[in-house]
Amino acid sequence: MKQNYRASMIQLHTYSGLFMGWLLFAIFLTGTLSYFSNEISHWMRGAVSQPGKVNSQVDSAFQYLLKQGTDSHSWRINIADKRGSELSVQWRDSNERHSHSLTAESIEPQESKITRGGRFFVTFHYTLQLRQYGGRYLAGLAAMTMLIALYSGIFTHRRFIKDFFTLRTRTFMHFIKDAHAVSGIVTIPFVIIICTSALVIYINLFTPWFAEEHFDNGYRQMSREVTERLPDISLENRPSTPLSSLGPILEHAREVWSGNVLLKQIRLDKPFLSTGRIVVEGVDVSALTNNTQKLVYSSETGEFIGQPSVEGVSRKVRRVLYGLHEGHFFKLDLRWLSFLQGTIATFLIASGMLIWVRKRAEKKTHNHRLLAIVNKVNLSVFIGFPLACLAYFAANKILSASLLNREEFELAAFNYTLLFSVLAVTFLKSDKSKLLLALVGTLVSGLVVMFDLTAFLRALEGGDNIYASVGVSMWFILFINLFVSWHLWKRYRRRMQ
Amino acid sequence: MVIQELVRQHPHFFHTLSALAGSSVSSVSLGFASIPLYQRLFEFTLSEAVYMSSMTFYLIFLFVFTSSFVKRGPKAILLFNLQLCVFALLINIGLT
Repeated sequence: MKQNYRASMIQLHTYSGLFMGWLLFAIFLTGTLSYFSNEISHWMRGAVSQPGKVNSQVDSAFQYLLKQGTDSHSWRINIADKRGSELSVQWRDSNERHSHSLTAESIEPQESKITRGGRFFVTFHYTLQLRQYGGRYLAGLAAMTMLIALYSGIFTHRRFIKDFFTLRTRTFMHFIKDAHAVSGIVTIPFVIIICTSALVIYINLFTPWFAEEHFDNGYRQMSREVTERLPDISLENRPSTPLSSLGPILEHAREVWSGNVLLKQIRLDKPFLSTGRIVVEGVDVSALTNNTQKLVYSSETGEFIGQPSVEGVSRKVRRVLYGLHEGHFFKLDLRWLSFLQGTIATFLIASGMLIWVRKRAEKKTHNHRLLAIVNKVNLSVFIGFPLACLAYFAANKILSASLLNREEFELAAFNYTLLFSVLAVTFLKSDKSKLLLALVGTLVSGLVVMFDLTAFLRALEGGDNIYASVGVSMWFILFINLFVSWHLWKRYRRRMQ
Repeated sequence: MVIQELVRQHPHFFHTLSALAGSSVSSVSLGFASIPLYQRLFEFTLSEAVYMSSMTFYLIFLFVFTSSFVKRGPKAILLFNLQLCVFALLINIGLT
């Protein structure tokens, strides 16, 4: 339509951003929080405990399973790590799945709050809470749109060096335009990796045609062919009793693995049959891939059976991209850097949407009703989502640990706060709604800090750094909210006079 | 005539629609064409070649879709994508 290449790219950049901007904001916000999902879960469970030694953890969990999981055909032990994930056991009988948190010191289940914790943000990030209704397709569409917006954005903001060193603060429009360009330049590599890997992770879902054409059972069959296979135990299938201790197996696993591999999970398939196997999984903390290293043992004799077959190259590529997306291998500094990049990318999306409205409002030639609608949705999303996340934290701290279905109440707090933001923005004038939502944000973050105070002080005393760090972040959020509320209150009063 | 009038009245919409439709079809065609290419060039097994072609589909779509926007109208876009489809067909015929 436009003859000039750059003009075409500007148009594409503008409308692709507008098309998916709100959804992308929510996805990037929850994705950024997901970098600390384990730490957030630890804080939300409210359990202030140290992980303990691996051998004691395994011993405690295994003894618990020997006692409780007698009717089960599958056991799982998840090892606690330094990022706050807890020691837990899972087993499955014919009727249902069971899951309990334990400590290394005792085989009694630990009392901690039942919550989705940081996993809620991870799940929201890729399903948008619409798992059965095409949420993952929408997230994939958003990732593709972001890549298109990024690619066309490179041509739109082509003066990289000049843009990078320009940040005018004379007017809001100048500032937001320059900040948008700077944040775009800073996050180009991050966004490329994140969006590409997001598409590759759900490759089976988004591009099923190629496999459907070449394989009878489509992607399932193809995935089986490129994925590693665990070795089989070719023994007579008869009733049996599992080992009494996993100690010798752990010793052998340590000998096989180098110092970089940390034990993550132990799985026992069919523990009461002679064909049962124990799969010991470890994470190589220096590897990009999200794949675990596995060693297989007989559950009856403890004999080492072998390692899985080698995966195909294509599957390895996917696993590396998966690892890069989720940042399994990140140490604390890199995790914070990625969190910062995610925050800047979230700001990039929001600033782009604000520029679109402001530019057209200044010209006064555009459809004002459309501009007003976009402006209101902007406010609802950009204030509503962070506020809903805060409400989710507040509900976790306020609700009693013994409350039935407390997970659902936490979710309801998230959803209703979002709805409240939408209603406030819809029915109030812009200044009033901003002030109201900022005050609500201050109140909610104040409640989080207040209800968390005892546990926060206990964590400081007990040396639980993960809990204390998240607690400090909540104080930081409270101060930001106070500052924003005070600033908006001053502006509101000035306009009223 | 009715379609031409609609295109004239809503040029942005039809431009985007044709870019989306055209690039989807041509990217899928090029994705299929890349399967024998992976098998021949890198000696991948069928399952690996299919997997890799799925991955490259995204990249092809990104470039074809953005390139479509440089074209002067829906007709030019569809012609451009048709050329890509024919190119994909030729690769397929040549390699299989």
